[in-house]
Amino acid sequence: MAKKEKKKKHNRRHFIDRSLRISIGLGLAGLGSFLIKKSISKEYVWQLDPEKCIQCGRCATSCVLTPSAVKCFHVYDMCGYCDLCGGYFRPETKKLTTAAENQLCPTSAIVRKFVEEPFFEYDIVEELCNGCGKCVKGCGAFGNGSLQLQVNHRLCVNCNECAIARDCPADAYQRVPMDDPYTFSGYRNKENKS
Amino acid sequence: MNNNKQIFKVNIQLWKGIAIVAAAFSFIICFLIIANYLQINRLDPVNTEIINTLVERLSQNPNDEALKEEIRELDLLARKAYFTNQWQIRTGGYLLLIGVIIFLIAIQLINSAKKISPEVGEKDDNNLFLQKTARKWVSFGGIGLIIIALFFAFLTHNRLGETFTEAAFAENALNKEATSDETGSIQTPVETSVNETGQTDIEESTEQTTKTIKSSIADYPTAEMKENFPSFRGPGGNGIAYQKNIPVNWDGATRENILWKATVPLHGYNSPVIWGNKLFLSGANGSQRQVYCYDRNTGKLLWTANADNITGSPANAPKVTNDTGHSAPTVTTDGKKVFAIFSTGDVIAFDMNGKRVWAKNLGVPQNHYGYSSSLYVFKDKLIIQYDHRTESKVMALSVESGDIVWSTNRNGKISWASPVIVKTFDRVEILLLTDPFLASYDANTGEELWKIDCLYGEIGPSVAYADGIVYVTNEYASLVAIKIGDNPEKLWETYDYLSDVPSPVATDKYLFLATSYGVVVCHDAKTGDVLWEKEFNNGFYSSPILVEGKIYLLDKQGIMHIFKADKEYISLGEPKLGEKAVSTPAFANGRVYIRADKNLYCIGK
Repeated sequence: MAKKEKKKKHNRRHFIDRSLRISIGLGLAGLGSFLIKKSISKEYVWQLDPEKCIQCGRCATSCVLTPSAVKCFHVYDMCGYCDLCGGYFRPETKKLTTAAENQLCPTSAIVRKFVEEPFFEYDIVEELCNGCGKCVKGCGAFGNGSLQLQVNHRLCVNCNECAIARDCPADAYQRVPMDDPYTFSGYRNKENKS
Repeated sequence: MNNNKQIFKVNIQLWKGIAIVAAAFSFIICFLIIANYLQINRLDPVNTEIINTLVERLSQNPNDEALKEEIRELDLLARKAYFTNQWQIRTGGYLLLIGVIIFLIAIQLINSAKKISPEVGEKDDNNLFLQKTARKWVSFGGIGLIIIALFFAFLTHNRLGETFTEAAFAENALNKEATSDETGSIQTPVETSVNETGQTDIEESTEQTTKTIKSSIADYPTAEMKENFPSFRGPGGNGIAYQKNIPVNWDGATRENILWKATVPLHGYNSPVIWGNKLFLSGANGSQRQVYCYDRNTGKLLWTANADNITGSPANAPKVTNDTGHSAPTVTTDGKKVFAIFSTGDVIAFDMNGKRVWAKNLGVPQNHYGYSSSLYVFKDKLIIQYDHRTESKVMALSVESGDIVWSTNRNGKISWASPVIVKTFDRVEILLLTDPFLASYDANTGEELWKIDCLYGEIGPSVAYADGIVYVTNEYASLVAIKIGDNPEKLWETYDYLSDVPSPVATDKYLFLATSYGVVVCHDAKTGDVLWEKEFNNGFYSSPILVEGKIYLLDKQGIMHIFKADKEYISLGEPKLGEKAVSTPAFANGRVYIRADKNLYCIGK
């Protein structure tokens, strides 16, 4: 009887010990496979195609973030560094100064810097940009289209269903691989791809 | 031991002080956040319409230095307000959270430091009591935090989002000329009259309309409207037609009294409307939206107009259910133009020859079945009930340009009902039903005249009105008679037979109600007593129309049940169309027009 009990006790301990080892083994295997799968599978993020974008203004208003995660990006390679910049100045501006009455951007998010006659550089202040796309429209209409709207992935929370994509009248939003999250049109895009 | 007690006493006092300061701090921050939110709404800092106007003025007079200064100051103020408000709300949220956490910690410490006398033999009970209390407070605390978070999330993000949307729409509309050049389709540029505060120009329209209010009261629906059938459920949408010599027998199988039959290109659950010799309806699918005009005498399709290339229209139509579709709202006409709206929020106006006059997108309605409220014209305004998930409003657009004449926000839920416009004792009112209320709006100004909580659920049927009483109903809720006026009151309420789709129709004495499960009931209009009820084999989606003292009610199988509008059920005919139908018929003298599943029928002798 005593022998039997002893055997029983030994078996139970053995069973628990083995169960623990198996559980830990399975857990480690699962974690390993999860990490491997994560490292080899592609993740996707939302991005807007500047060639489809019609600058309707909804990027500024539909995003779950305030201000929007969509910002204006300057593709400097395409920029003509114009004195009369269609993205910076309101149409029919008489004097090319930085006065408020001349600026197109409602939040004054574009900084105009003199380079050399007759060139000026335009930088976007990300914190001030609300993604309204007015400058993009102006630049596209009168310039080379170097100002482009893009989802800034340092800010975007990558919602499953992007609120802007849902409202976008041009169907410009798409999922792109996380390792290549920007879809600039023009030179910068070509350089990125080459 | 004594020293420990001393320390505890000091701590309690200190934490009590901290709790009071934290509570007061949280309250002040909460108050400031609300004040900030109200300020954002009032100032609408992102909308720079006023600056644009000043800049336009400056371009005419470029040397006006005072004007330049004014623009610069306003611009600075607007930008300051925009960014400061954002910063304040964000920082305020964090501060509030910190304040609440400190308050809770202080309360917890005060409670835990309270002297608890040992009670021999009741230890277990005390433990149970403490556990219960702790559970209760954890639950209350959690619920409280969630409510606070939801409240502030709603206040800050959603309302701010709406404000931005309105600003973007205004901007979009202003720039429409350029866009329409690109699309090459919109012939008249559309401008909204949203002002710099994001609210619509009610005052201006009030001034204009009050001059003509007397004449509008005297003749609504107008004699012209009564001669025709200009909208869903007749003039004003009250379920009454004013035509004569309406046939009571026909047969689709033998074509007896079927004058013509025409196939409608695109499907739609909307109903036909008539003006003169023209009949209009619309059809749509996920990719196409069209308005059709037929010669109502011959059935010839006179024109088809596409509702496409509309600025702001979504690239993909929203998801809708099959029993609602993309063109559930019925079109309307004022005899000069015909107006249509679709599931995408696209509203469009054509002249009587199918030429586009204006078009605009109102924003995609967030509606899980699909947008279905029909359009109406009141004088020079197109009335739109736009109750969807993210916003609820009623608006009037100029029939000439599509500009917003007035727009009134409503705090209701999604509604699938349509407006009913009636002349009451001394004014013309728009009656709108949604969960949970019936509200009346001045048709001239959009001002809310009165409101009463009366229903709940997903509201499908529109109201019926007669002799100062409005009748409202919805499935799983009730049928309520409401005496209208500045202080509306419920006259009676019943729960026996309720409708989820067809709208009721009323006379001074009786109320007729059809249900989707096939029962038709006649109530005494003043008391609510059931005078008769009759069960038919098929259910009803089509709404009953009162014409020449008879009720015309079309069932889902296309059988028209014609009976006297009286306290007894007296059948006058049950002609069969031979095709399923859910739309509501339209009437012209001696004619009935029915849109069935695939075909449009003209019935007459």
